[in-house]
Formats: sequence, structure tokens, C-alpha cells
Amino acid sequence: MSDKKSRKKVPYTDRAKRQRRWFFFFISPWLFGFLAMTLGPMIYSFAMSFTDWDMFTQMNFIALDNYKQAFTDSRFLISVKNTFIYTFMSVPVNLLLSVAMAYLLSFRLKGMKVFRTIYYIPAVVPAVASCVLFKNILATKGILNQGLALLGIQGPRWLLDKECVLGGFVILALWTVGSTMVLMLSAINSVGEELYESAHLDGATRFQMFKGITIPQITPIIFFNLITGIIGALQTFTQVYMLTDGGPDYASSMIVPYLYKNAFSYYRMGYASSMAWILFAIVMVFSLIVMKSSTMWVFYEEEVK
Amino acid sequence: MKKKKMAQVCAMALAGAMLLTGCGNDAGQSSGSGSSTAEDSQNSQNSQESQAPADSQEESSQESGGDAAADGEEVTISFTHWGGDGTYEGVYQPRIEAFMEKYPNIKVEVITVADDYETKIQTQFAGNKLPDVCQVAENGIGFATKGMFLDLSDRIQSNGIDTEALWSNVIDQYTYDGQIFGLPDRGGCTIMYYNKDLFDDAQIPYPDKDWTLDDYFDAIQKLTKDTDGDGVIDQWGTTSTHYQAIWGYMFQANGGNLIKDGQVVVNSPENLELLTKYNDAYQNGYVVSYEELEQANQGGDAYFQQGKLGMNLTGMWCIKGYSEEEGLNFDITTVPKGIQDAGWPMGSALTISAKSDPAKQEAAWTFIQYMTSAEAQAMLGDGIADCPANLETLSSDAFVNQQVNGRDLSLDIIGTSMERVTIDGLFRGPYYQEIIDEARNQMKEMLLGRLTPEQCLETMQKNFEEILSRY
Repeated sequence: MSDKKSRKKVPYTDRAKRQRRWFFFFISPWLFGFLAMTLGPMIYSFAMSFTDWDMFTQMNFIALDNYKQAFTDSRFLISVKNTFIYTFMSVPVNLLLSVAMAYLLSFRLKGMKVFRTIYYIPAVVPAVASCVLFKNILATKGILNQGLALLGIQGPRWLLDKECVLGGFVILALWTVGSTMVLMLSAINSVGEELYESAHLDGATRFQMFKGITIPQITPIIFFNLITGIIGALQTFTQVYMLTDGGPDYASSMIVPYLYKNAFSYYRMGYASSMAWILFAIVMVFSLIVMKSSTMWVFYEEEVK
Repeated sequence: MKKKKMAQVCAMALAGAMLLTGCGNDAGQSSGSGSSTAEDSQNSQNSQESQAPADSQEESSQESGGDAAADGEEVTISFTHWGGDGTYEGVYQPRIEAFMEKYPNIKVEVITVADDYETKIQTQFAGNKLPDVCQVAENGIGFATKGMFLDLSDRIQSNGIDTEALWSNVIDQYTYDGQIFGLPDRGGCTIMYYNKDLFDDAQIPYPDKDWTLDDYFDAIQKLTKDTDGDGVIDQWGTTSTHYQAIWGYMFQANGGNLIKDGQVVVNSPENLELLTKYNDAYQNGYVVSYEELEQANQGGDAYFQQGKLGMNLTGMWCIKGYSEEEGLNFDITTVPKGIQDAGWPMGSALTISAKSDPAKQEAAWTFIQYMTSAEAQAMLGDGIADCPANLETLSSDAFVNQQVNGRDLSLDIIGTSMERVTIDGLFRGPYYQEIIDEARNQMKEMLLGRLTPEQCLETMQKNFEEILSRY
């Protein structure tokens, strides 16, 4: 603390100035990209959300009409609902599975590296390719239902039944669990050996150690994956676009595909922008809730007094 | 504490970044623009584009450079179309080269758009960079209502172009508010393919131009069979699910419409009568089911190619592929008739940008006039590179009597089919895309057994009206 104070009083030396310049020089590509490609369009889309722009004709200011329309547009509300259901199903399942898998893969057994690679491979496959693959897997007489039939279970028409289609998307989401798993694995591997050793001396069982040491130690990473997972799920696009295009009868329609359709198929750029900002608000609210809750369950070593 | 703050900041930054990138995340491929023609044909793998032959490979560089013409000032116009290199080489290149030879002072620069065609020209228009000549199909009307294209009516009149003789009703698809905004270039409409061997087996006489919808619904039942006796149907009458080029034309043939004079008229007794038959055929298993198509992961067009279908109603684009299939003994005919002439248009037209400068507009007019002329259209029809829109070309001996992969097919029915085309009110407003999306959605709901034909039409009526109220 004292160090900080003293630095404030002293004016910047030439060296510090030069360093600052270099700093901006090095981040300038990113900074430029952010301003031109991200912040600019963002501001523009915010302004557009109050207009009826169709990309062709004069835009007219229509105040909050787009937002009002969104809240009475049953198709948009269904899309929001579907997005929420999908998020609440896919994110927890994904986290549980990735922790469990990472834990199992953290054991130092022979050939473990091979297994790690195998479980990570799906994460490398491009989303579009996995979608094509899952179109076959989730087909009514596809591989998944053929497998279920062996167990005597009559599988549903995953992509044709309204009740099952989101479930099908969750199954597809689990396919890419590898990317989360890798982060969990590295967190588990960096948990201090001495903690386990002392627990072992105290006679703790493996499960107790997992519950009392591993999990608390990796909560920051779980927290990170939770936030990014929620955001990612709320923005689901590719799967819907590739597999069902929102069907059957909007049962798998989600926010981003729906706004994309409005913008680029029906030329309602203003309306689409307002939906994008509603999504932004939703993402913010979710992120804030999760961050606020983090004090209750996320463990940071620095906090240990 | 520091680490926690960092995590929070990181998460926040990521939240922002991911949100912002979200919208651009269109990793998927959009079905270009000819969508409702080739690609929507029940997931047809045999799209029009992929079948276009690469017959003339030479000198594709000519359009960008070349020698300046001696006479007149040189003008360069740009032309954009959707599809791949194959489409360009098969459908456009020969005609464009012939054009530039004939009019040496006009250079044509071609922009081939493989994907997301509509989005692309929409953005180009917004940025004042729209090519001088654009290919449009059903999407054209939506653009035309926004003032994107030049009104060609006066030019058509002063050049003495007889739209009735050349294109019949098809011109209506490219007319908005009494103004013609495009000249029909590539033609086509729903035609019927039938498997002669399966018809022989079922002892049904071959269909002809006078076949009716009753004959059709009767025949698909007789053509549906379990050929190997394992208790599972493996040969079907047809494949007709939610593809509008099938049920849409049938509605009209039966005296109905989706939209007429700007009013939604889909919920009519005529349509209900037709739809009930259509739905019964599916529910009775005479039509390849969604479950079946899903499992095989192929479109209905492929089933016909494999000899598993008695009939297939789709665009002309299957002719080449089917005629290459040695064991497939097939021919084509007009789609079954109802109480009135009907046909679903599948072609495209050439337009001129309203924002091009006058000199280029003049050159562009010369260009599209040439492209749609008898001379150029004959090149298009030669070898069935694609279906010419020009009715005179379609009825010419050269087109009708040519062989396709060594086969004699009833190519004369293409002209007849085109003459029968009627344009539903659906094509006359900017709402085409949204209405057709919704119609397909409800059709699928009905076929999957979640709606009765009555409910299907009621829902369509209600939802179409709501859509129209937004335009």
C-alpha cells in the first residue's frame, strides 16, 4: 500500500512515459478493432433499435415501438423462453459432466494422455460439422435411437417432436464438453499436493478429499465456466440454424436465430437491433446475478486470513 | 482480493465480447437465394447449381479486360448472380462471352455469390454499391418494393417486346404496382417425373398432359409397396412434404389461392378439399415420411433416382442427374391438372439497379435484352444447361427434340408447363418470404400429425393476416 502512495506523488519519469506509449502502441491493433468493429456498430445498433430501418428506405424514429413490439411478439417470447430452458438445462449438465470427467482424467494412469486427447477432440470439430453429424445421430431412426432401442427404450423423434427438440440440443451441447473439461483439468492439476497429503494423513477418504479440497480449490474456474457457459448458451445460433431453423413450429427458436431472421430475411433491421439489446440486458442481468452470488461459493486463496 | 477482481473484470469483458460477436456468428451456410427453388426441394442434393455443366471452360478472364472497342465509348457494367463457378460456367458464361463479342464496347464484370446472396445485395444497395444487373427470383418483389430496381415498362414498350408471347403469366412475378422490374431469364416450374418401370409394374398407364389430381392421388396409392416382403414399405408413390412448389400449385389447380388481391384467402373450401387429400396421402404412408428422409439424410429427389418413387414433383434441375442414372427408366410430364391451369414458378429474372448511372443503365438494358433474347436463350436451353424462360425457345424444335444424355425425353412439356403457370398473390408483395416460411411451418405441423387440415388452414389464415398487417 505504501508503495502505491509514494508512486502517486512522484511525477511520471520519461521511462514511464515511454512505457505507456509502447503500451498503447502494442494494444493499438486491438484498440482499433474494438472501436471500429465493435463499439461503433454497437452504438449504431442502439440508435437503430429506435427506428424502423429496413436497410433500403429512409429510417424513421419510432421511439420505443420496437421494444413494445418485442414484448407482444409471441414468437419472440417463445424464443426467449426456449433460450432460457436451453441455458438452464445445458449449462449445469455441462459443468457437472466436465468436472466429473476432468477429475477422472486427472489420475496419473497409463495412457491417460490418450484419453484426454480423445475427450478433447470433439471440441476441435467445427460447430457446423458437429451439427451435420448430429443431424444423423438425432434422426428418428438414427444412431442414438438405435442405441436406445437396444435397451428397450423407444426414442423420441428428437428433431421433429416439439417436446424433445431442446433436449436434442442439450445432447449436442454435451458433445463439446471437452473444452470446459480441459480448463477444469488444469485447475484440478494445479491444486497443491500438500493439501491432499495432509488430508490423507488425517484419514480422509477420496470422496471427502474431492468434496473438501478439489471442488473448493477449483471454484474460480467453475465460476468462470459458469459465466461464459451462460453467455454462450444465451447466444446459441449455429445449432438452431443448422439443425432445425427454429422448428418444429418454433419449438427450438432462440433469440439470436430469430433476430437474424428478422434482420436478414424480413429486413427488419431496427426490430432486430432492439432484440439484440434486450438480449444484451438479459446477459447483463444473468452475469450480475452470478457475480453477486460468487461471494457465497467461490473460494479465493487470498481471502484466507 | 486481487484475483477475484481480475476474474470479475475478465468475465465482464468476456460477457461483452461474446455478446458482440454473437450476431456475427453465422457459421452456418444460408441457403443462398434460389432457396425456394433448388435447395428447398426437400433437401434436394441435386441442386440446380451443382448440375450445371461446365461445358465451356475457356477464357473466363475476358470479362474483366480485353481490347477496347473501336466504336463508341467503352462501358463496364457489373452483373451479380447466385450459385457457384459451375453455375457461372454452365448458365451464364457462354451467353456473356457471346454478348461481349457482339457488343465490343460493353464489358461485363461478373460477381458470383456462393452464399447469402440476398444479404449481400441488400448490403450493397445500402452502401450504394449495387451491381448494375442483378439476378432475382421470388426475392425480387421484396427488393422492388424498396425501389431497388429500374422500372423497365417503358423500355419494354418502346422496344416492342411482347411479354405475353415470351413469358405469359411469369412476367407477373416481376411486376410490382404495374411496373415491370425484371426480364425473365431462367425459367422453370414444377414438373412431374415418373418412373416408367414402376408404372408398368402397377399396371397404370403413363401420365400425360391431361392427367388430373384425382389420377395422381389414385396412382400414388397403387405405387406404394413393400417390394421385398419384410413388412416395411420401401417404395412410395411420391415425395411431397412441405415444399410449396407442390402443394402451392395444387391449391391453385384446385381453384384456391394463398393470397388474392392483397387479401389472405387461404382458408377456403377449395383449399381444404385439396389439403385433406394431400394430408391423407401422407398419413396413409403413400409419401416418403419425414422420419424416413431424416434417417437417409437425403432429399426426396434422391429417392426417385434410386428407383424408390413412382413420381416426383419438382423443378427441372433433376433432368440431368436422373438421365445419367443408367437403370432409371423415366420420363417427364406436366404436373397433374385440377379444375384450372396452374404451375409454380421457379425461375429468375434480370434487373437493372435504380442507382446505376444512365450510361450504365443503357448498357445494362442492352445486356439483359440480349440475355433474354431467342439467340441467347437457345444457348441456355442447349444441353439443358438450365431452363430458358423464353416460351418461344421452349417450343422451338432445337430445344424440344434434343437428347439429354442420349435419351429422348418429353421436353415439349416444359413449355406447356410454363404456359400453365399462374402467379399467386403471394408473389406480388414484399411479404413473400415471411408468408412462405410460415406456410411451410404449418404444413409440416399438419403432416407430422399435430394439426388437422382444418386447423392448419385456420392457423395459416390467422397468421398470414397478422404478417400482412405488418407490411
